[in-house]
Amino acid sequence: MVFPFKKLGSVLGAPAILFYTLPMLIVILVVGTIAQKSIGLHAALETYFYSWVIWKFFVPLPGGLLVMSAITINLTFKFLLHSRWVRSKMGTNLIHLGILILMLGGLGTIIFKQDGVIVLPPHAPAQIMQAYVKTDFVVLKNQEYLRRIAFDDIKTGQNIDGFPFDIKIIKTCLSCGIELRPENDRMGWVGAAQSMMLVDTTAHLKAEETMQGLSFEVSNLDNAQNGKYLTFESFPKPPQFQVGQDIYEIKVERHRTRLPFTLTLNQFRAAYYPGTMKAKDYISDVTVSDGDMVFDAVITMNEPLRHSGYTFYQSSFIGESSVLAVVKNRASLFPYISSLIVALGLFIHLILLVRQRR
Amino acid sequence: MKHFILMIACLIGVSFHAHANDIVEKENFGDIPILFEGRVQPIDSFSRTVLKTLSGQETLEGLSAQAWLIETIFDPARAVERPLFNIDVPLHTHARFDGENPLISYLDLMALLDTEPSLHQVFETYGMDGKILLYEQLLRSMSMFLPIQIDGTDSGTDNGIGTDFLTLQSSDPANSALLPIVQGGQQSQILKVIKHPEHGYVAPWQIITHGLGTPATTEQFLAWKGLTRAYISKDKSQWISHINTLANPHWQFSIERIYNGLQPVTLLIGVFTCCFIILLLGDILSKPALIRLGFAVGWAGVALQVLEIIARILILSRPPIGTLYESTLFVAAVLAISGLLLGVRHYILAIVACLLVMMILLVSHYIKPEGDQFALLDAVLNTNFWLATHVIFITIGYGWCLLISLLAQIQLFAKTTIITASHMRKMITIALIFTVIGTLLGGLWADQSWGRFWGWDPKENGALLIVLWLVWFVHARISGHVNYTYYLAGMAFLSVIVALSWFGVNLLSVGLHSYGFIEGIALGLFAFCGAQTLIVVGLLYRQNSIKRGS
Repeated sequence: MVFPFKKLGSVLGAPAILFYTLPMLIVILVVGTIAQKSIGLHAALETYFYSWVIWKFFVPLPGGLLVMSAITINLTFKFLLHSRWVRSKMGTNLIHLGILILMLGGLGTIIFKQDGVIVLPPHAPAQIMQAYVKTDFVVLKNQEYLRRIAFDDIKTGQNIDGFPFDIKIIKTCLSCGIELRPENDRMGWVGAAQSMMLVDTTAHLKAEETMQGLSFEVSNLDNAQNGKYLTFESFPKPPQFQVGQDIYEIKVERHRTRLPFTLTLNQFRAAYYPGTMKAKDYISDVTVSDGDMVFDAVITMNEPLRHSGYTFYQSSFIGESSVLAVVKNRASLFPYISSLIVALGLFIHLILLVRQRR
Repeated sequence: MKHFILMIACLIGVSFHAHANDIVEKENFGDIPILFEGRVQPIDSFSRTVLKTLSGQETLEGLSAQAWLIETIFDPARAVERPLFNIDVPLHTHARFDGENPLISYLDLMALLDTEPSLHQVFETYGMDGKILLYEQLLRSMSMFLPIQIDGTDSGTDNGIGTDFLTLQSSDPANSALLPIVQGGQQSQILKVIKHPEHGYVAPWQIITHGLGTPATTEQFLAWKGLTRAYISKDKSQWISHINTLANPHWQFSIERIYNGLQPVTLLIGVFTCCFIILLLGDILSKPALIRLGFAVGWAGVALQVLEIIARILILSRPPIGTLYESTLFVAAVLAISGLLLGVRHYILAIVACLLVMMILLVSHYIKPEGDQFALLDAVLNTNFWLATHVIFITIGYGWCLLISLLAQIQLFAKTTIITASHMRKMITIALIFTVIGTLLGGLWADQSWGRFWGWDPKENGALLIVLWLVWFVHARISGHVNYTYYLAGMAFLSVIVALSWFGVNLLSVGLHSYGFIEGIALGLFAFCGAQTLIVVGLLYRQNSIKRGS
């Protein structure tokens, strides 16, 4: 029996799929946009736009990824199997091709895109890109990174091995608040954990401002160090353990990526409209050092720096330090190509439409 | 009360015996440059903005904004008695505001605050304190040149006018009358009218208190002193002479002053109202002459719109759309041009387009920025390329979509063919071209500024919503999933989609497009969407009833 490719193609390329999926996408778009007001952009993205299924009142509804995948598959089959390759359809075919490239670029972005921020203090080389949201559980030995585990992979009750002491996770907290620990619950807790405890809170509307943390138990050390601890993002005094001459430190921090070159901020400037505090532009003068190659560059709003596949955008500032958004995306050219093709297709379509009717 | 008046006198620092000064020529005064809200502008614009901010009015008791400003800075003792402040705080139950005049003078306001200190908190909450501070700065801005009154008498004479702060400071630096004037002057930096070679524009008091005097500023400083003296002594020739020293005859200022004087948006509402009425009468009475007149008025309105947009480009030295307010002006122009062009065959299109233009221009009144109407852009928007491409495309797209919606509604209402399916298809293709390319350009701009093509930001989603709606109905029609009536109904509903995309997403106040946030139009927006939905559903029901009947 021959697999009915043609029939499958007809089904998958049927106009009815588009007719029913487009309104679904419209609804997801509207609901996901309004939801940003209450749950923030990150949560809205995860819940509506980058999800296969949206659960509402225990009812599974199609998520953005599912609907967009269906539209892409439908368009692919329509384009490949049902397009009429005649001059009068040239515009339409180009538009469809452009949209397919755009969708492909979107898929490529989801797969390949790396992004984060890099903070550039003045006159100090910086090389570490921090993720916006993704955090890691890290163990350092004498201030050198020994182990890094994605926070999402850490589970309550999990044992983490590979050190001269045992770590058992008591509780993880994806969105933490800090409260005073009650007097009657301080037994066994060590250090700062004696007086403070982590409690679950609702996620911050800005995901990058949500704090993650965990409490854990350490054993197989001396009695003074054995006990229950806690650590969380930006904790100024994370727990430390001395084993012989070595100092171990346990932290939760944003996922870090080391760039293959360094950036040094020579000067950060904010240009204001005269007589006001309204910013006209933000400007970072930087020096890029990549092996033997050293050069100066200026990063401003709307004029990023591109180097070695990375693009640096002026994002913010903290005092005299500049904060740059960093993006590495192998699919970054797709939107440009697709935009050109779609625009060309639309113009050709209009010209043909006008001529056709004459 | 006596104590209070004395306090006011000290606050202003000066007083003199001159009263209303009607003989002084005021014309060229408006050309004097001033730095305000980050923009060097003619003082004419400044006076209009400040008067509007304080009183909510364009003129005050018959005084133009410019005349009011002249009185305020050169005759503060008189100015403080003039009802000025529009108390837009919930004090309408207060006995003082029961009268017909909604304005209250600075003197009365201070007396009120003196007797009821609890009002300070209310004023602070509603931003009134900022307005009072702004006014106080204005009152004191020329106090170093004004005659000083000490113990009810002039401390001396200077050309018969009285001794001013500068003279007294050099002759009797220990005089106790100087201190309150300096203290007031130190805080008076609003009137940045002196061009400084290093510090841009500075206020006259900054020259004194910050030691910013240079040979380059001396001429201007003395000209302001001369202007003050000329005003007090009603010396017309001196007044004109000093204004000529200070005024900037730059062509951009001339354009801005003409723009201010014409108030084109108000004028346009009038023009398109006339156009609407004339065309409507012409159509009802079947009078071709009236129709021609209506079109002539309409095209005159379009010419004014084009000139208005060109004027804004020239004044701001950037593309015409950078704010929500400016987008309404541009969309109104797109609608007027398209409506009049398409209305040649079917007058009804021109009539309804005029109505729509009027409505959009009225909306623009509500979302007009409170301060300077030539507002400066946020850093991320400060790029001429993307403003001239993405924003223009997307706003033309809004205009076309509104026109299509209007046409579809008319077609659903009409018993005869107003627009053929072929014409409708072409118009939708044009709308798609502008909205799709505009949306894609927006994505490319986001890629250039924020490092991602698409971030599901509310403003981006709004633009995509229009595109998806159009694409859905175009494909549904081609595939035969909807008949022509429902297709038209879908297009008629486009007005709601555009309204939500254009204004609705700004109500959410979330996302990176923080420059577009607006408040206070939610009710109007929902009323519009509700009314349009009812109209479309009603038209659809009517069409279906007609079909069933036939």
